[in-house]
Amino acid sequence: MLEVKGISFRYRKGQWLFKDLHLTVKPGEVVGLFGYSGAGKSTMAQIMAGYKEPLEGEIIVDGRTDYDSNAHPVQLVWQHPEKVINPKWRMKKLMTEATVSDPAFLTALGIKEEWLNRYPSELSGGELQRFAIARALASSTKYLIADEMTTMLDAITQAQIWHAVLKLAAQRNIGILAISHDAHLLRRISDRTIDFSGLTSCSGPFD
Amino acid sequence: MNLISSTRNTPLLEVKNFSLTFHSDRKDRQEPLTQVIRQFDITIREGEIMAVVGASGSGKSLLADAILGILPENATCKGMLHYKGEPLTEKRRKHLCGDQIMLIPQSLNALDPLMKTGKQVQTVMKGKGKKDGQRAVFRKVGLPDHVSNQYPFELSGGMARRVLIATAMVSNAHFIIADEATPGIDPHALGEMVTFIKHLAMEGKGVMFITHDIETALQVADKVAVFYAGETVEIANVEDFSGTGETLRHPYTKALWNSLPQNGFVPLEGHQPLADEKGKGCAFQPRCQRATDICLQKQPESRIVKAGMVRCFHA
Repeated sequence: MLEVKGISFRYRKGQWLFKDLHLTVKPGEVVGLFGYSGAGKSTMAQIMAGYKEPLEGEIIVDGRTDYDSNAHPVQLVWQHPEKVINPKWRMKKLMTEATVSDPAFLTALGIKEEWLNRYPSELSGGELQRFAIARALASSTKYLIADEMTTMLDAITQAQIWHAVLKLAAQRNIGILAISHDAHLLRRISDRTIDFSGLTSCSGPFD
Repeated sequence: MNLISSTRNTPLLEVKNFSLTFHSDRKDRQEPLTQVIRQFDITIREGEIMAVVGASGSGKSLLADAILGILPENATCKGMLHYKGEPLTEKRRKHLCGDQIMLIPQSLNALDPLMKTGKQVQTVMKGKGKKDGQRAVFRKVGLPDHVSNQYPFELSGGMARRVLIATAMVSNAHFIIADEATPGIDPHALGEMVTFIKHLAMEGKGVMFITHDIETALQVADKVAVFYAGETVEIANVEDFSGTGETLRHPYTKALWNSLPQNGFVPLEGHQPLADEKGKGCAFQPRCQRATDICLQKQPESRIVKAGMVRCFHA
């Protein structure tokens, strides 16, 4: 189980973005999360995936907190793949670094073999996002956080990607936290949906 | 016919058989020329909002750049591009862009980071009473007075979007291009943006609303131009998007509609061809269930079907 236990965060000495936040995701479960822009959803996602340290509280993954030396069991996919992929690497190198090599796995995500020889600038946003997801679903991954993962994509590509991800996650019993403003999407993919403002004693919007 | 109605009949923007080609000098490319937009047609009139909908990589943003004349140097345009009945030449663009023709950009980085927001909005205004006008428009879009004295970095994403919209509202512009101006905002903020853009059209401005989000397009627009692999495959009326898409004309538009989570969430297989993967036939043909021999051999011409435009042999 992925457990967020009473975490708090603020930037520098500013207002608390959230305080004493609790959330759990079970293996194989898809949890949909929605909330106002600027409420702190993405900051929480970054803390869950180990990009940031919470100021209070902790993240417990399958009973452990010591996963520093290996690939993080919680992987985060962001809204803009072009911002997290090295523009000077061909896709092949990107996949090798993440120890992704199984062609069947790439095919399941709709990645074509000929794309492996391309640079990021030679692929569309939807094609790049498939590579970002392939990296995030490396064999050590137990939980996936999809933070507006398909927001920048057209509806057909969105449906293709979610069908593939849900199938792979079910096969490997991966738990998913899907963050989105699209209520229709969350209703379609989630086992349960939650409102971010209900998770914590203090949160935005500070718009 | 009186003078007013005759100018009303001249479209603000008229694009016909427009194509855009990039030439590359990279040695590992087999084809030195890549045609990214072909056979593009669109007409936008005063007070009309035309959505341009398509997948990422379909060429939507390049179209905006072509109208504004900000394409990279290795691009060549062909075909007709008229503004108010006359060709949009380089010389006319210099006078019109930033004045009569305005862009609401996708990126919030478009705001000047070193200028207070109130001042930025005033720069596009003419004549006296700039400060009052700017304050009035801020109230209209729901920005408190003190925001005028703030710099862009002090604003949230939603407030910065309002400043960009306010700029278009106070400007002299007759024609506005909104390029992916609404992604990733919560439903409440989205509803407000939709209202503001509709407001622009009510004042008689023509709006080209570029987006990949068909749901927002249907809330905003009068008509929807559907873009696939650099071509307009259909121009539909908003009412055509209902049920399982029986009234839609092109199989790609139907697939797009039925892939929405609130409809079938059906993932049509395959991918949009890159510019150098297109054959001589219809660009959608490899993914189309209705494709026949003719679709492999020829590009379909545009036709009028049920008061809309379509490029398909089988519509």
